[in-house]
Amino acid sequence: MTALLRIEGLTKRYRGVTALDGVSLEVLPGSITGLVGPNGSGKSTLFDCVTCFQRKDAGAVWFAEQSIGELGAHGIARLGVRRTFQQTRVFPELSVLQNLLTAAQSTPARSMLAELCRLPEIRAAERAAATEADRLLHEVGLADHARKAAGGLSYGQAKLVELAMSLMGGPRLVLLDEPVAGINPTLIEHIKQHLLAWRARGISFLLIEHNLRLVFDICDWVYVLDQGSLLTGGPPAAVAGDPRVIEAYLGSRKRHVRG
Amino acid sequence: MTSRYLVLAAWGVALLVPLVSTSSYVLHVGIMTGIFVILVQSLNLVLGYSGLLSLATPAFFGMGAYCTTLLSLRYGLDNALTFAAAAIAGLSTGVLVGIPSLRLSRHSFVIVTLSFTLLLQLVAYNWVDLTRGAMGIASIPAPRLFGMAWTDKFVWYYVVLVMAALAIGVMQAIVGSRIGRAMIATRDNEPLAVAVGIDTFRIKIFAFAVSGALAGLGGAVYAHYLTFIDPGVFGFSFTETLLIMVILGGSGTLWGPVIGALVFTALPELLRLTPEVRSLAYGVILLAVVLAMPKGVASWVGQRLDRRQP
Amino acid sequence: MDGQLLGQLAVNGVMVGFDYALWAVGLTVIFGILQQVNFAHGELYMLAAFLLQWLLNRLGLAYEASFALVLPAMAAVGLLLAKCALLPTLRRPFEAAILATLAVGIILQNAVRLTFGASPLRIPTRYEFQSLEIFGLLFFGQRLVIVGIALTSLLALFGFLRFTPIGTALRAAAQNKDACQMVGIDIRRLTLWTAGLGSVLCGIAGGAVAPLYDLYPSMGTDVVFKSFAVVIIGGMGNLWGAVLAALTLGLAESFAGGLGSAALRDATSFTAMILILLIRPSGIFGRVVRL
Repeated sequence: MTALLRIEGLTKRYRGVTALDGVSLEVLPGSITGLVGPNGSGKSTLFDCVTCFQRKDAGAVWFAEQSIGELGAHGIARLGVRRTFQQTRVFPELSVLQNLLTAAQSTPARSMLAELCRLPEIRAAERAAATEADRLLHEVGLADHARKAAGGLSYGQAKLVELAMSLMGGPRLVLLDEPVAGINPTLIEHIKQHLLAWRARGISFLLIEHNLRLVFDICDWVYVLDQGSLLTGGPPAAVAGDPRVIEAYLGSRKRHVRG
Repeated sequence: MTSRYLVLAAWGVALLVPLVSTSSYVLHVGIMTGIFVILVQSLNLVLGYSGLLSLATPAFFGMGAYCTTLLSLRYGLDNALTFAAAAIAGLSTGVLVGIPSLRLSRHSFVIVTLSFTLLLQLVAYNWVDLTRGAMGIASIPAPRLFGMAWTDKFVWYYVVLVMAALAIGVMQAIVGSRIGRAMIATRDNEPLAVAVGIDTFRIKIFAFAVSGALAGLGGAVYAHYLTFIDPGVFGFSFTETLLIMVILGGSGTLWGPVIGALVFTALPELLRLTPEVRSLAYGVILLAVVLAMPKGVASWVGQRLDRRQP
Repeated sequence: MDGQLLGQLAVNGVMVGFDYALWAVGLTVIFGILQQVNFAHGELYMLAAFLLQWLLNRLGLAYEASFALVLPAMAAVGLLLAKCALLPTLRRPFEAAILATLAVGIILQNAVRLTFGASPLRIPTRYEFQSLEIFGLLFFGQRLVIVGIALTSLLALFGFLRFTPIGTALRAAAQNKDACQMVGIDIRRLTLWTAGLGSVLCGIAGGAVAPLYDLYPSMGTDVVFKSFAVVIIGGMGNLWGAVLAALTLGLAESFAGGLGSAALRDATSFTAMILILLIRPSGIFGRVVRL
């Protein structure tokens, strides 16, 4: 099976610090792939480099066999690769529904003038987006809050909105950055079920998470990053039992002595 | 829905003013208000809706003013053409200023937009062959629109009213469209806007282009109405006034800045303030608003009212 | 090419460059430490100049004595600026600080206009008509005074930032405000210090440079424009970058004006700024916080 997302030799350096050191990994279509590792191991940086939010220093990224290294961040999103952020992001002044509609408008009309005149094709697109948004909001249980300003939502609700937004427009790959950080177990379970359902519909996920139970529960494959390097990658059971992974998380004696 | 009636009522009043009052002074205030309504929409589009603190509005305004003046005086063109040219001049200036400025850090952006304005003022002072420098250009001819000429304030009032309505109409079209939503998204959370596929740079350039066109048109109207311009049209006093109108009125709302324009054109006239006192008052008001009511008076009042409800 | 002419142009350029360096330093310090652009910068300079003139004129004090008195006065103004505009906007989006300082600038300019009137004033000093000639090159009295003051102030500033506890705290804040708070440094107190320091620097600039020109309430605009140009060319927040950029700009303008025309000279700063922004937007020395 050809990989949906293929990363080869991704490297990112800051002044004096190598955040990513030649990382290579793959995400297969129709899968949920986990990306774990201790804090500072470079997971979010990897997301940023893949989606062109930050410039990479070396390496190549292919999405559906197409090199996406040179596209702008918004271009990658239009291609069908969406992402969420570590600190949950919504548009606070827009309503929940408008947030989702905004997330669906990535295919602009032929011209700005067409947008302004609200030609029939645009109005049709808006109606379709509204239907999709409605469906997603019902799915995540936020239909009652559709007209509420997103800035007034609770943390958990905002996370759901962000999640729903990333699914608008039918992306093929969604990069989730800690989607269940800081939320209660019931909501975690809900999100887990949603992810499984969405995977069943053919959407692939690359998941950064510290909640290892969730990761080992739903992921088909797990990669472990440590200090910018890929430590290992494999089925959850194999990775969970790998002593190097445990050591990376708990820290070795060498590190304690230095600290 | 009551707001719709209020808006209609306001337009009704505006239409009737010249029929009710024969005072030339009242008409003058009305005309100046109309010009500022056009200008505040220009600033509101980049500051209020796109979240860009651009100090370049006088640059577009001045370009429009000089453009129509020079075309009218040198080539005697009909003002339908020169006004269009002024709008295009403003639009081009907007794009030319926007493209380099928007790639910079947000601090540098503010500084560079100001610098562009100062540069244009410098050019206007120094390119004496073209602009007569500090002496300015007087006796700007009365406008001729499609062959019809006028100097009568009565006619001016309605012309400006129509243009102001046009400006508001353009704003409404933008704000109600997906572009408007993309602007708000860019303003409120740019990384997220990018992540959902919005080309934020293109959106900002668009805002600059339309803002430039509007301000350029405002400049053209200003030039032909006052029949005199000098490099002072690129001056900072316009920015001061516009900032007050937009921020106090309600940055990022459609009608807030319009009300701001009404209040801050009429009020100084009513109070017969000298320019220094007026500017001083503006400074104090701007400071107070920025510190206490960043979303403008309308929003502040709205919040107070919300709190009183059970 | 006439060596004499070139030499004189170079001398003039460096002299003017020191003007610019003094102008830009106050702005750089405030931006470097607080990451807030002080749009009242030009008006602080203007206020210092008018204060000096008032002390000279009304109280009949000598130039040097007036200069000395202006500095603590400007420190007080700086604290006022901090209280009114910088502190309240510390945690707000940066536009708030710009608008607030802009407002203060408008207030200061018009207050001075109402108090002193709009007709230009002058600050006479005894260095006005003195000059020095070395190797056939002329060095004007007040300009030498400026160089002296500039060098002294810059060294003093450097020493202050390097060797005093407050100075070290300020440098720390320039690098990472949040980390400062974590180690117990009071950001509010630092803001007051920075505003005071920036204002005193504007005061020094005003006292030293203003005697060369006419005083009028809107004189701050030129200062602000040049300071912005210097700061952008040198790299925002970079002190030595600003000084070098100032000197370079002064030289460039001198040659442009001397060999070209006055209009060319006026366009130099803007052209340089545009070039830097297109080629290397973070300034020649980058956002390397070198305070």
